[in-house]
Amino acid sequence: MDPQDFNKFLDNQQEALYRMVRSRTASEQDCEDILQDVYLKIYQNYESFQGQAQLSTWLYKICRSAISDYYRKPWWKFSFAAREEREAAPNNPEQLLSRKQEQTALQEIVAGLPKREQEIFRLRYFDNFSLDEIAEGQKIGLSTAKTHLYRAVAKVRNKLRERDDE
Amino acid sequence: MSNQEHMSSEEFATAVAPTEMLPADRREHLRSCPACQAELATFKREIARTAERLAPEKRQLQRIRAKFWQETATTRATSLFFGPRALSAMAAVLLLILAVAYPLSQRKTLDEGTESQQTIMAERPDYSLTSLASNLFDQEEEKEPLLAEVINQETLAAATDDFETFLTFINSETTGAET
Repeated sequence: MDPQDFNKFLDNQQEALYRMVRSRTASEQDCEDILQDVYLKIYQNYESFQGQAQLSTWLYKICRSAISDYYRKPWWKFSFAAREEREAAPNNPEQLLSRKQEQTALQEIVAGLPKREQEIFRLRYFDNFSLDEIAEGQKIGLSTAKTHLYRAVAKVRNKLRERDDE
Repeated sequence: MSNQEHMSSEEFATAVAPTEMLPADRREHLRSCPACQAELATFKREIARTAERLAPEKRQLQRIRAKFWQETATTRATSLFFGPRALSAMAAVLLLILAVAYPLSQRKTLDEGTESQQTIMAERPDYSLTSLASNLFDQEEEKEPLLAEVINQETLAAATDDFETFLTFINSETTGAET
């Protein structure tokens, strides 16, 4: 892909990519490091994207695989900043608290859902995916995607009600 | 409020997105039910708040992009020397060098051997070939006359610088001695 074309592509997609990665990572630093891998994968493989899948689904797959690769790699391969952050976090309750405060109530509630429901809820409401795109990205049927989404919504509703009642 | 039930999760999930997707009667319910309206408003507000929290600053995006181009340039420069293509090319060149250099070095050794033989012959014509010839014959009685002839031939070879002549002689004598 031509660098100029890639810059144009990023102009359109960069924010969506950022949101997609940021809503699934523990920290800002992790998000930035992962985005470097995501950009590189897109830059190297864009020619191979033939349009069989929707662009959003293709980008989602790249992000998901980059996130999973990132958290699987050994500690010495993390960037210096990410390593520093990681080492400081578990022993520092203040930092833990401030990190929790960085999240919205909804993010906290969503983080407590089963994995599949979490993912589908995020795709629908944080990444603005349609149900068709969710089904394609998750490799499940449309009705299964709907079922997971409605279950997730029901749980989130209950949690929000509980919070409002307190 | 309409007499219908409050919204199900399915309807709620749909209503968060474009409201038009709800069936007409459920839209009517939503319009007339403050509880559902309030709940839906809370849900939408939470989503909007989260979206806002997840939104990057423009400066941040620029920094990430700049870092990417910087790293890509470095990776490209590195891959010129350490990439799979570069490494294959280097291996091919190395093999080519070995393929040319090895036969040349072998040839040089042979040349050096010939040169040293010729040097010995020139400096000590009575030594090298005589000792070689003496080892060719086991029979004591055959040794003396042959040695005399060897020395004659050796002198001839040294004088003419024709080692082939000497070897031909040795071969003929050896064959003769065996028969």
